[in-house]
Amino acid sequence: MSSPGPWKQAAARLRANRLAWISAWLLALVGLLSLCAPLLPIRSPIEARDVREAQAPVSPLAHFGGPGFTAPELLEPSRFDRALLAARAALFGDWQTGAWLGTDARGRDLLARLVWGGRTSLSAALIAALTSLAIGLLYGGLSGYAGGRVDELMMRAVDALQSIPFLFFVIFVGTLLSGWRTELADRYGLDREALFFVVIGAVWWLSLSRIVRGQVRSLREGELVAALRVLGASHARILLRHLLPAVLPLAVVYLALTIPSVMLFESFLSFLGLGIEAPRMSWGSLAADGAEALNPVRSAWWLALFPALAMGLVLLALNLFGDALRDALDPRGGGEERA
Amino acid sequence: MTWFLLRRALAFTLTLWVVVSVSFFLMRAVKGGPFDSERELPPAIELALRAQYHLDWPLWKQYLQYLGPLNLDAHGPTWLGGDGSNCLTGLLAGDFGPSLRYRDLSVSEILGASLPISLALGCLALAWSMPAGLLLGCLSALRRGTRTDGAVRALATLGIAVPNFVLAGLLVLVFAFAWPVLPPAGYGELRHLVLPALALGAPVAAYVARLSRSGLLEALAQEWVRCARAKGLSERAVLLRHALRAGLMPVVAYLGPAAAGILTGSLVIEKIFAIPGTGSHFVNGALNRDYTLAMGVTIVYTALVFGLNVLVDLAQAALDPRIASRERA
Amino acid sequence: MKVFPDHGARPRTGGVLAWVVGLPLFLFALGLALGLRGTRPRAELSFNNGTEPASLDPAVATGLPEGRVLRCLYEGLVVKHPRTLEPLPGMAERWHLSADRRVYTFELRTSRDGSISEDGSIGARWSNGAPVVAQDFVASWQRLLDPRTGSGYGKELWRVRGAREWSTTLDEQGAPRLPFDGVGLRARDERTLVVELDAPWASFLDLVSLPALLPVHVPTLEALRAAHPSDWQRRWLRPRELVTNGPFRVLEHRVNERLRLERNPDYWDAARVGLATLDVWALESPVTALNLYEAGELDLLTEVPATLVPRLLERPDFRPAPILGTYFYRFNTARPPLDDARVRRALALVLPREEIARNVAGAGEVPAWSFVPPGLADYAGALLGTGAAAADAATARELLAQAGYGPQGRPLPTLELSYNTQGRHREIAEVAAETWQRELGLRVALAGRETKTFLDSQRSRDYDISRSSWIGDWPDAANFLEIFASESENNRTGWADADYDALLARAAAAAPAERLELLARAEARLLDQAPLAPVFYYVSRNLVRPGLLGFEPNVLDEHPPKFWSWAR
Repeated sequence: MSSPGPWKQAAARLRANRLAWISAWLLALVGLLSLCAPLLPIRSPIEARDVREAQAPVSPLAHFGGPGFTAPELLEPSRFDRALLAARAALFGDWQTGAWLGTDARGRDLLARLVWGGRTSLSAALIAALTSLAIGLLYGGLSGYAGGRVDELMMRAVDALQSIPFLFFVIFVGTLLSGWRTELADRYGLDREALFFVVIGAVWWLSLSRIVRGQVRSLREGELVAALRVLGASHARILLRHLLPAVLPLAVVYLALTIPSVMLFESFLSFLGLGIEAPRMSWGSLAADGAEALNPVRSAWWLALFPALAMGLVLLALNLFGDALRDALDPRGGGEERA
Repeated sequence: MTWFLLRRALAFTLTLWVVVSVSFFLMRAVKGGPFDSERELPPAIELALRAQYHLDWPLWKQYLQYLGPLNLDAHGPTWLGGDGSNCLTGLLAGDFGPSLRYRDLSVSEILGASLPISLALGCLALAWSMPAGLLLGCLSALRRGTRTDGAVRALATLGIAVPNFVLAGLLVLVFAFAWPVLPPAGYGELRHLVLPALALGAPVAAYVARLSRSGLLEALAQEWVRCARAKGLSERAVLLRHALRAGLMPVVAYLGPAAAGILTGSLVIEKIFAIPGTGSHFVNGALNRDYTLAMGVTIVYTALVFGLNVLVDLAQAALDPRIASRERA
Repeated sequence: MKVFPDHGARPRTGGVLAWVVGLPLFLFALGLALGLRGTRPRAELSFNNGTEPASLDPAVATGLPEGRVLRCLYEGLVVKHPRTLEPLPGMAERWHLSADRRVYTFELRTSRDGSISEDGSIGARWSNGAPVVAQDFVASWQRLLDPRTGSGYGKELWRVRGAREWSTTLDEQGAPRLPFDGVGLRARDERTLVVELDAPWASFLDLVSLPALLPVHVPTLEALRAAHPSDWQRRWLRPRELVTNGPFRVLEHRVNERLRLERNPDYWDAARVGLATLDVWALESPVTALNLYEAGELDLLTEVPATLVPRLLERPDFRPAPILGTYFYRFNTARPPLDDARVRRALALVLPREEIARNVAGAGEVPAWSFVPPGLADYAGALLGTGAAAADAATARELLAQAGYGPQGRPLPTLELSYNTQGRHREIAEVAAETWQRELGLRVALAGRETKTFLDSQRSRDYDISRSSWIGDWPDAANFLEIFASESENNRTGWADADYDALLARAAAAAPAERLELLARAEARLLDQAPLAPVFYYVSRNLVRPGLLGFEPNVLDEHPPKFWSWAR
């Protein structure tokens, strides 16, 4: 199980799939850009300018950039960010790009907000997806491995949980956290938003646990487990070292498909005013702001278009990549040769 | 079959009880109450209001009162110290209680007025999105690897990826203003429902397209399909007769819970198109601390999900005889 | 792997196809059957009320949206002139004030037999045919004063002689114990209502025209209470049962959608009501409302999307006007360093009011240097600071240094600025936080909270700095200043100042000219101690279709639909 065989094979298959390969690069690029947001010579995402309404995009040809950058102190940059900001200052001085994608109603640069917003969106989605992955793997694995009555009971519990309107619970947990935010931050040093997305992840594992359980069940019946038992391996060891790694590929696929839904959900929460809090931003909160910009009096179309486009592109890439990954990891040797 | 339904009914009761209990206590753990506002109520008045809705009782008593069926207040049965004028109340007596936000209405009245609207809109959204998604999915699967396939997949991803409030805003802008053929919002006639049904159904169509495509491909790769092909059946016949049936499985599994969400309404769509459905109560009930209304919509939703999941199981059994025989065994 | 399902022969194609085609058709038909309930023809005028009214019971409803609807349905003793807000005859034909300015006597336009009264109108009647009599007002106000009704405005009537004692002397069930005879509210006969106040009070006629003091037909209520003890509280408010006396009556109520009103033929002044039908929409999204306005479905919006205000300002149908309302920040005076008035005053001084009013609020809001908004006749209130940003910032730094903070002293701890995550509060908070950090070196953490949580944190004083607003009930400085009295439940800052309370008490007892002077001194004290920092004064944001007559700008943003009509 720990041999790199299937992974190497999969990587080779992936490389053969041009679309998937492009997607992977795109994702890597977006991830890198978000991570290095403070390093890029873009405007400050929170610096307002004295404008009366949202400003339309300016072509880079008309205005490529100019001086005037101020560091976004209100975003409380971490030490890592400060280092990047310092590097940026050394590299570019206070030069910054023009408003290539336009500005919002307060004159804040949309390009910068998209880059910084990608940070929040991606990390939130990752947090939630990883949490759900951890819980789903463990729960599904246990249920499948235990089998029998325990399995039955655990799966019925999943049934019950699935019919709970979980949006409702997320709202309540969100308000609970919003009510205790100061206590959380002061006493436990916890970030409300990170915690919130852990909670979202903690309710998102249901379908994953089903899939994992099914896989583990079929593996358990196989010869490997019997052999390991004969060799005297403990249950925990079998489950953790042999069975769960075997279902990991499947879980990775699932992860690629969960991140988009978490991002969408975050945008919905932003629409309700329960999502990411200012001064921070996410693609979801930008899109929610953009929705108001679509109206017959004056459409600031760029405020809706670009965040939606950013989400759309990343989600498309994730989906394509996820699909390709599934094909590549398919033990039955799925793939292009079937078509 | 009877045994299956009976077991499900038992599970349903249990689930509902868990949902009711958890949400009841969770809701009251949240800060803020139904009568908080920018303008503070005098303390005596707030006490009186809380007493009117029994919010001054200990939590366990409120819980029992909410579950029913015995009325524990001054109008309850005489042997509980009441005057006996109204002995039965609470959930078990079929009473969802009064709304705390819409003070003139009971939760049953609110649900009675808004649920049909959400159901209607949900039905229309599902009516176009299921066949459209299926059609696209089949097309995509049959033409795997071609441009059509690529276009369908891109379209499907966009349908999933674009937040529905952006899509709704765009639809309004295009069909109500740029090319004014439909009203921008409102409710009552078919023309009011076209845009919301489109916006509500778009992600469903996209998901169905994706799922049916992969389901079909999976099925087409199976040996019995190859076998059918070898028998000389045409590609279309293979698809329609054999593969579709199996390919529908993931679609059906997805549609169960999704339909529950669609049918109980979407806050976003209702807000943008001014549709007085249940979706907004779902969120606003929680945000307004309208305890009873929030519980009411939760219960309706839970029941709907459960019912639809039973339907899904039945449908899957019908689609795949292997499941049916297992159930029977 | 099984090659073919082992039971049954070939799977039937027809079955699956029938479902795939049939189910959508069935759903489509079901959707149409459930969804098509038709619409009534468009009302003569439709306006957006912003939300579904919490109740149609005047005693219970408190908000602005409720007020707009209630004024259509009920009529009080007096109505307000749509522009000047002077009291005009309503249910009372005339009224007079005793020489000691304590006793109001209202003469109602009641006629026993429905005959034509002196001014040519029919007498005041309820929609069930009963005449509106003085006893109705006594009973309605008694109901308002009874704590069991749960009215937030009952307290306003405590200035009536004996009312306070009556509604605070309760038995253990919470019912008033004293007889109501002791309260200075009397129906001398069916036509004459006598109200006796504890002390002269200039704003009494303003109070009388508040939505909460609108009369209800208590006999109907009592009959329903007897017949349906469990749900009478909701039953009497159903459109079919509701008994009203105003210019309009409810034709149909579609919850969360709209309220269709029609002209009430039994209304005494029905001939002067310009609109036969009126739709009151409950749209919560300003963008949707604007869409409907642009499409011609709505004629009047009370709120527009904030980002569009600059564009709308160029249009003649957008009519912003100053109103009596102040947007301000509360300081929690129990928490260091905000327990020091100098720190609070320093923070209040350096708020970027101009920037907020111009760029963030945006509809012509006026930077606020006082708590009481301008526009009150004869009231010259106090001002905070000089209005010159640089000088004020210097003063603020000096104040902080005196309090022991700043470069030479201790560093200021991080403070939390909490606001509810709605509208533009977030952006305003951002601008304020940036400025405080820049000018005073104060680090501010923004804490957006969901509305109810936010309100809870404010009332339980679990905050450092908290967003607030106050909209005046009537044009009087005391209506603003009294909320910071130490016993006021709307204070919410922990600030209690004996001098301030004393000034307010003296003002309440003083003659009109001296009273305003005392109130101005109280405001000066308030701004000096600064438990709050005023940010801006509100303006109304009405978008009104041209041709609507009788819709006049005024400081309360009250627009009685009775006077509305379309220009021919």
